[in-house]
Amino acid sequence: MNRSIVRQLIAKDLYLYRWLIAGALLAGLAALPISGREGATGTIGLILWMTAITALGIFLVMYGVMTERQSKSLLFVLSLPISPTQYAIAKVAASLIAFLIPWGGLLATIVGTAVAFEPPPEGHIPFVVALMFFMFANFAFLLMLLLVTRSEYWAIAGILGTNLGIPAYMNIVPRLPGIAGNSDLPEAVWSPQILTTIGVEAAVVVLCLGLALYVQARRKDHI
Amino acid sequence: MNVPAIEFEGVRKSYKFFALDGISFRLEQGQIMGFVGPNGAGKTTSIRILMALIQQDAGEVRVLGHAMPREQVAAKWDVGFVSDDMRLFGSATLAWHMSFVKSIYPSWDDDYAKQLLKRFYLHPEQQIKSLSTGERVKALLLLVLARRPRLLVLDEPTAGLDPVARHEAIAELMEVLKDDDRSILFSSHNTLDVEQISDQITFIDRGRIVESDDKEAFLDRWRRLALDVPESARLHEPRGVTEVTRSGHTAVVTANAYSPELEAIYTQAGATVRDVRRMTLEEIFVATVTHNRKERGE
Repeated sequence: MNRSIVRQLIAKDLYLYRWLIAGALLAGLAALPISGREGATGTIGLILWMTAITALGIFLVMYGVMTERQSKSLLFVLSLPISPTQYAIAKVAASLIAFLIPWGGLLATIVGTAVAFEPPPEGHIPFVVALMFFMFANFAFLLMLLLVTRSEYWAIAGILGTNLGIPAYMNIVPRLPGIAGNSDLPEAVWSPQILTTIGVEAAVVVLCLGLALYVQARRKDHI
Repeated sequence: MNVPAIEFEGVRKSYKFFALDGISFRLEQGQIMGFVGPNGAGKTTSIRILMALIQQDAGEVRVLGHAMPREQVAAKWDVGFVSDDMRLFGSATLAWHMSFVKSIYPSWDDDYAKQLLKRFYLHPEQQIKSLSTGERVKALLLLVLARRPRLLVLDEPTAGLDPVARHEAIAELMEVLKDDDRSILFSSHNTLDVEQISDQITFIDRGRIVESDDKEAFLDRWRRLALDVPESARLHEPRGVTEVTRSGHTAVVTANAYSPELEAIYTQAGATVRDVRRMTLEEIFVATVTHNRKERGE
């Protein structure tokens, strides 16, 4: 019966996030054709679709975790027959689903478009995948930070830090040996360096979510 | 044998500037307990421990026979909780909330929910953020009452309401509760609300339970005596008297264990008993808290 309540809580969050999910997906999809253009227009498009993903992550943690706590609707949720750990599982799962729908949709569109294109400009696919995983890791980090610290100040610091990390990432990673120059190739090159980068990002996601659930399970006070 | 609806035994919880100091009380099934205390007395902390929102440092808490917080999931199936600062989801409608709660509790009673909607003048299609404070409290009450919990825990549910909305909410609550055999813990610092609704009263102050008794017993044993006292007469405080205040030739005696013998004692001391009157719950509450603080030297 409790598994079904966790499912209901996930469904509840997805219902409340529905416009956010749709908005991020539509904004990202609208920005993609622009980002494929040459020069400044292309850069603006790139910034727009990265903003769509980043803003989605920020809204999900601020609205879904922080506002639920501050507005005291958390009291209502925790009065339901669930344990605080089950609440955290539902919250993490709902946030992940809400993030991964636009994230996955945009990633699939980028990869699909590149593969379908003739001649194939596929060389940038590995870096785009790595960048998308970086943004996923940023989201997981923010989610963990809010669930663990419950602090608005830490949330703001986390948002600033992860946002500053994106331009730094875009400057550093494409210049790394084994990755540099590959984006201009017609075929995707999955070098050990790019695979390691993606692997580290995926590990950060797992570690952040695991830490969030671990801390929640050991916590004594939930309000 | 019926297990008590709520049992607190030696419950402690410490914060930097406040501590629940080993509180114990018990609410039998079918009883309505008013849990009364000034702001910051420990009512909300106790209720949050009761609802497993926070965990006690020491002591035992059982809700409908379930040890808290360990068996909180089993306990919460039968507990309806409404608190002053609880909020619903502002962007969703009341109808959505009703359907959400219904999807969780098989005990949800559709007909009863419809009756409550009518009685509370609520519109299911209304968004929660457009409800007034009074309507929000009624919406919360509807969501817990329509699933027919065995125990209702109400933490200052009328605190933010204006007098009219408060009167309406209490009247509706009393009407709703008339037909049911529910246990209720009703926390408030408003003694008028508590007096209307409760049949047991527990006073809490500065993290300690200072009195717990049947409401009628409280009202029966507390009296205020007005005395005319000659200057030469010396008034002492016999057993059962919590306070004697003297001003010139008059004195007021507050007693927490009144008996006619008390009048005789003061008459023998040379005083004339001008008036003996029952006290309101608010007067009893203030006298209890003041007396208790004085005894503890606070």
